[in-house]
Amino acid sequence: MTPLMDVSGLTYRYPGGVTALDGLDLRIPRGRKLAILGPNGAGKTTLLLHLNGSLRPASGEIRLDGARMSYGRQALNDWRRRVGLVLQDADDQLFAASVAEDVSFGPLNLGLGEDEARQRVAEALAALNISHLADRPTHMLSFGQKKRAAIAGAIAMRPEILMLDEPTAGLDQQGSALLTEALQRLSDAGTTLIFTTHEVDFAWSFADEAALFRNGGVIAQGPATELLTNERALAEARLAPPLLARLAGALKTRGLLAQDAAPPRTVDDMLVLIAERSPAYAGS
Amino acid sequence: MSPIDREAHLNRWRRKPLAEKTLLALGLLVLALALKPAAAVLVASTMSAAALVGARVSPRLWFGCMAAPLGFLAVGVVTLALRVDAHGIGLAPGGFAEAGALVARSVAGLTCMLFLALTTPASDLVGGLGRLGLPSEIVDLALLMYRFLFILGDSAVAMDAAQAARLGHATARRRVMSAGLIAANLLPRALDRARRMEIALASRGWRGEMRVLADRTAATASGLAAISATLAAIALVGLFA
Ligand SMILES: Nc1ncnc2c1ncn2[C@@H]1O[C@H](COP(=O)(O)OP(=O)(O)OP(=O)(O)O)[C@@H](O)[C@H]1O
Ligand SMILES: [Mg+2]
Repeated sequence: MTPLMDVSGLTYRYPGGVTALDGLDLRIPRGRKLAILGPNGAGKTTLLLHLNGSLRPASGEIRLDGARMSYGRQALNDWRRRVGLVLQDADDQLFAASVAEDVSFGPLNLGLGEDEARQRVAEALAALNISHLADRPTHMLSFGQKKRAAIAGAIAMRPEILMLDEPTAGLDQQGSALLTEALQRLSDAGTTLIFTTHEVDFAWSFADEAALFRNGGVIAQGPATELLTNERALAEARLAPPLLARLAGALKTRGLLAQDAAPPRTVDDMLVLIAERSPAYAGS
Repeated sequence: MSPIDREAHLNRWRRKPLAEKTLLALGLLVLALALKPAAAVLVASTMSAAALVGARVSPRLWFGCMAAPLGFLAVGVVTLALRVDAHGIGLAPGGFAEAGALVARSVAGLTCMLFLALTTPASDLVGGLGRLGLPSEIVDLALLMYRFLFILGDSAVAMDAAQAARLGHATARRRVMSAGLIAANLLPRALDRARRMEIALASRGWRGEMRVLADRTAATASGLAAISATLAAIALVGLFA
């Protein structure tokens, strides 16, 4: 099956000299959750800006559903209709006077009527649990609230692919859990998700595909459970393996987990695995 | 964040129709300037009551905002009421009446403007001007600037705190230098922001027009009637009292 998006040989140099992307290749499988991991300055944000046409590569190409993307006005509009982007800093994308007004911006740009736009706004706010903030001015929100408002603005456009730059950075535990749930619902509804993160544990529990970045290129890409247990690849991207993966590995070497046990993605998965192996624990 | 802006967003009359609030404030302003000082006294009390009792604006903020202009007014009044000539200082003939009228009109005008500023966010006012026919380019620009003001204001406040934490305010000299650094830093930051905001706007399908669903409340007949009655009553008092 052709990937939904196919990036090949992407090279980009910022005016002023830094080569941010250096012949980058990436496949974005349809309907999955792709985590992009890598150290600061590896080029993750720069890549996302290319994936909706905000930046234009010096060389290389991006294919969406097999069709090569071009940069004419109409082409860009269609592209952005299909691929949504949430920037790292929510202040960069909230500009209307109130949260609800801001969220309505995208749907109206899609040419939707007022009623439909209103409906989309209500749904997006509900999905991110911020319906109660609808009338709040955007400059009177906390960091996490702004972040959720920004994400609501993107999902109200119902893109096929939603890209999020460090969605959980700076969110408290509950905020992050709520966001994860909302993203999971989008994913269940068929949206392809791409997000960058520095939190390996978050990627481990949530992503089903991962790509490791280093120096403007992808050093490895594959199913999250395989890639994130590959210590060599992780070390190259200056990352430590996820806690649950490490724990499962250690328990396996001591015979406390079945050798063929599936990698536990959550603490609950882990408890189930332990219970299978030691009935004593299950009984307690 | 400015306390005035905060109050404008949070007061109880925030959702009252823009047309009603501006009609009331501007109507009363015209009456205060055009009629006898007695009417101005009524205008000032009406506006204060509307703001404090109706919109529940914080009294502290209300009187706090009046303090500075009232200070200037006091200085002006003294020069009107007194006369300085060859005989020394004395009361100007008719000076008290003139000074009284000035005080009444100024305070009335002040309450009208404050009422509007504290019950209606600037973004609503600009949006209203747009509906009255101000070109959308100007309205969009003004609204973006309004938003930018807060973002840059927040950065300036944060930078100031960061400088203070690193002893940037230790001496008066350092304080001046620190302030200079902030000023020099805000411009590139603003440009950088603007660039990223442009990316965000484009990502959300912007095509040169800033359309959002504004939940406007239309003016009601009963509201307009009440305001007209108030204006008429004060006008009658001002004309015949
Ligand atoms: N506007 C810019 N102008 C010049 N160089 C830039 C600009 N933005 C980023 N860079 C450079 O491009 C490289 C890649 O930056 P990018 O923001 O894509 O990294 P990142 O992987 O998102 O990092 P982080 O994890 O810190 O967000 C970095 O070396 C950075 O210094
Ligand atoms: Mg980044």
